[in-house]
Amino acid sequence: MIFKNSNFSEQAAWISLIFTVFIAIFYTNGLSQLEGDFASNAGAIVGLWGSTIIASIIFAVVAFSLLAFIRKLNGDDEDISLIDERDEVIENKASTWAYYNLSFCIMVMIIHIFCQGVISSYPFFSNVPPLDFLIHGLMFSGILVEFIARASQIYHYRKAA
Amino acid sequence: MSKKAKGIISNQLRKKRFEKDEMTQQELAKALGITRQTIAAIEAGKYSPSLEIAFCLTDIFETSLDEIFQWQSYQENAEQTK
Repeated sequence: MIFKNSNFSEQAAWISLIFTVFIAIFYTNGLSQLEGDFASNAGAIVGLWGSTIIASIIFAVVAFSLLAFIRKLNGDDEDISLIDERDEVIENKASTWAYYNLSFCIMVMIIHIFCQGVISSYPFFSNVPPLDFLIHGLMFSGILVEFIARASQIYHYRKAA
Repeated sequence: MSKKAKGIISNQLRKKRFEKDEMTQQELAKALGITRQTIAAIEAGKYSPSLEIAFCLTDIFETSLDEIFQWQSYQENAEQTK
């Protein structure tokens, strides 16, 4: 089992990793059902954000309650310290990767919006208005950043398990 | 630090634990205020603890730092294999 011989931070990282996949699927599914763009149908997009936030809260509550139950079952809840210096070192490494990824995503979005405005026959996402691209792009960038941070964290835990 | 100065840190933590009434990883982790997984990673040589933890270990095992941790530089290693 993935939670065997792992501490709280690693278990939380696994939950966050699964959470990002769940939210990515949920948001993509909602996005595919949207009609119109942000300028003409802002209410629908705000509704999608609202339902995404509610789904996130429900997921987090269920997942962490389940984790607390599993930890109690394994006797791990007696641990004096949940996070120590090794967790912080690993989290710092993961944050570095996440920062690089966030910078890259923002650069790509800015370049895309610039190219869309300057090049007349720009082939990528030509039917998506720049504002919509920015809004959804930021959402997916956030999800990707979280995914990379947690995946990197798990990699370092597994490497030095 | 130059690359030449780098090396391997080995430790006698497992041995010291057993010498101290077969202390478990969990007991040592509790005494240090860290997780058991970190103790396991230190023993496996996959994580080097901070100086604070290292000195706490010397207090717990009532020994000197160099009896718990040993440093062997790659240069030293290469000379020994010649």
